[in-house]
Amino acid sequence: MLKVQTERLFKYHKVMILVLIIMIAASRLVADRVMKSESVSPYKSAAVSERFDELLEQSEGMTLEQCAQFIETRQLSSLKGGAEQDEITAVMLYRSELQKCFEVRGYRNYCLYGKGIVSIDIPKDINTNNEKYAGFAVPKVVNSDAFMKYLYLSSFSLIPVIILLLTAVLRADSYEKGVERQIMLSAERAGFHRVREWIMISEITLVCAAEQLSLLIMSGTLGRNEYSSAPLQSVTGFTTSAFRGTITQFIVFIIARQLLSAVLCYQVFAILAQKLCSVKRYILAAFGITALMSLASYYIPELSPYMFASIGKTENMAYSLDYISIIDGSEAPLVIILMSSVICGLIIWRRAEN
Amino acid sequence: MKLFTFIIKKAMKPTVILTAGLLCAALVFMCASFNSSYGKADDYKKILSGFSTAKEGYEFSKGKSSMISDTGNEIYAKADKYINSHNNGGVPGVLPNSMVDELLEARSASYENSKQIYTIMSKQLYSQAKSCELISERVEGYSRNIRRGVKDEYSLKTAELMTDDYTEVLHNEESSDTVYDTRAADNFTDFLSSEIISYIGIFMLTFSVFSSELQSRRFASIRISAYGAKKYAAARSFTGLLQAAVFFTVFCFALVLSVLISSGSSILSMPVQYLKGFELSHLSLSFGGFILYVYAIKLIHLLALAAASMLISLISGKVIVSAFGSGMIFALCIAAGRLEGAAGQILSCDIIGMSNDINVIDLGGSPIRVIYIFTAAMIAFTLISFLMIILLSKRRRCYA
Repeated sequence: MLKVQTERLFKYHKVMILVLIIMIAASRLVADRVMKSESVSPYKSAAVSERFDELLEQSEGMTLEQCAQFIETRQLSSLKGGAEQDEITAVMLYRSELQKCFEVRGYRNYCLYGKGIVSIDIPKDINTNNEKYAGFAVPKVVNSDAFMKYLYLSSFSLIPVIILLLTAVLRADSYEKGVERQIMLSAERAGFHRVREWIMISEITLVCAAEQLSLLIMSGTLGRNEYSSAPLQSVTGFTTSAFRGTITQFIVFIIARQLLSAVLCYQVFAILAQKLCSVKRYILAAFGITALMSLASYYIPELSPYMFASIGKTENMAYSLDYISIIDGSEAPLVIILMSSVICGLIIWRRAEN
Repeated sequence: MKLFTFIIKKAMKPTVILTAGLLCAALVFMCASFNSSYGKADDYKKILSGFSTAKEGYEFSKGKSSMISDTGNEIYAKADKYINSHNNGGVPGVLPNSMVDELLEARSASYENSKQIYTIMSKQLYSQAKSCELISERVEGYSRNIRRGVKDEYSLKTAELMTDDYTEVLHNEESSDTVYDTRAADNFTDFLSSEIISYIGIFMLTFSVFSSELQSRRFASIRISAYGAKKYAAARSFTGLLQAAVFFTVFCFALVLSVLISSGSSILSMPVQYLKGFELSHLSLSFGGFILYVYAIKLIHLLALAAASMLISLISGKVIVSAFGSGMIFALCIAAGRLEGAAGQILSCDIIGMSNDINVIDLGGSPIRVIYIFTAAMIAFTLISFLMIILLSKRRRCYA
């Protein structure tokens, strides 16, 4: 059964598979080109980045106070010794990142011990959301360019469109032609449905995994060992994020969410295909859902972590995770649990229907 | 006629359902966009109604906004100075709790609300207060260039074109002395020039017009009917364009109604130069006229896309392929917004880009408005697509 279905897929849908590969590759390349062509790049140049990484290596394992002393000494020696511009820039950037670390530690200390704020930039909810800031880990200085590039490149993921097309070709078309009615008469129907489901979910998982891997390689995130021990609050722009974990754990959350969104999207689209029995109506309904979710995540960012079929900016989703006092953590586990529960429910329901 | 009436009756139900659904979504998103840009400044209208002229309002709100910022800045500067003076070998000093309380007070909701009201007000009233001045300066600049003996023909022609327009604009502005609350109007303009809901609606109405008929072999029956393929294709395409026009008209009308409910009908007589970012616009229109202008531009663009989508559905013959092909066209139009220059403005129907400043291009040494090229291109494209649908329909076989 598996062999038959796999052969059928590659034999009759070669063009569709090729188109999908081209779509994914093209969308990533375009995003990469746009990122590199920005007139004012927010990222460090290669030379500055190299110097910055050297400073990180030399200050590894130091406390924030030791890092401050280290960078003060480096700054004085680089100014006296007529160092290159790249080194001076790297030192200044290190200082500003270190300043951010002190700020985040300050929020934490203020909530734990009643004092410790070291900057004028104080979150407005520091008194009302005391537990959120008290639970922050002490941040570290990191080179966050790779992470920010990863977030940028994963914008406008076309996965919902790809799933829409896949489900249209492989499911909706069969329902419209009445093939499913013939299968219902067969003794092998249970095996057929099971194998087909596994093939579809495997395809989707493969596409998502390949896409995420390519993003991690293109952004340079894979080689960043410091991300596995640095809290997310070490990254500028995420200093007040409710997510309690390291940068690597956050990336794992994004990947897990994308994967669950893709599977959930497939389940919903498969149900639509089954109920509507018409490719045209299926496309209208599925496209409508994708469009509305994308617009909702753009105009109402608080909803974006739950919009499973949205072609939206991953950055917006990342910034929108709220703090939940009941679980003393961010919305992230809630998003995963909710999506997983809905997927399980839909799978059980569809199995019962078939 | 009978055929045409039959097709229209069949097409009305999906048009009504789609229009109703997308309109509700558009209104919700437009309100969300308004709230995120302008907040819930309930006192805004009350403060604005106290000004007799825009200039008075602008000076007052700018002063008030600066004063509130200065008060905040004083507190921030004091705290910053404390941190730096207590810096110990790169480790910043810890602020005493009294200063932390002052900083939190400076960032409190009531403080932020006041600051937001006056900041938004000064930005809104800038256009109303300064537009005349900015336009007069520009016109003076053109005259100065001529007096200096600038010989470049293209520059001289552009200056002449713009001077005529600006003279009329100045005359309109001088006769207007009301202070307007332009928040809803600004939000409407921003929303309509960047929204994609109308594209979604047109795509959903037109992507499967012919492909579903070809795929289900109904087209074969239509070909051998008394009307034939050509008449049917003409009637169906015309109906598709009519559906697009009806959808967008209702859509636009509802959005305009929401603006009028928010700002009152007096906003319709406001000069368009009072909109945010339109201070130097050459259009001598009121906001009511501008709504019609924007409606016409967007409608022409959407009709062109509808015609293209129907042509693709005829050529592709399969629903999935036509969905993909039409989707690519709409996606390209949206993505073209990132292109710079006239090409990007035309492809993406960038209303703000085509209307808020000079916006002419050099065509054979003469300045031609981008909007004229846009209109001509879109009408030509619509007509060509329509004709091609009729011509190809006779030769089109059903998908076997």
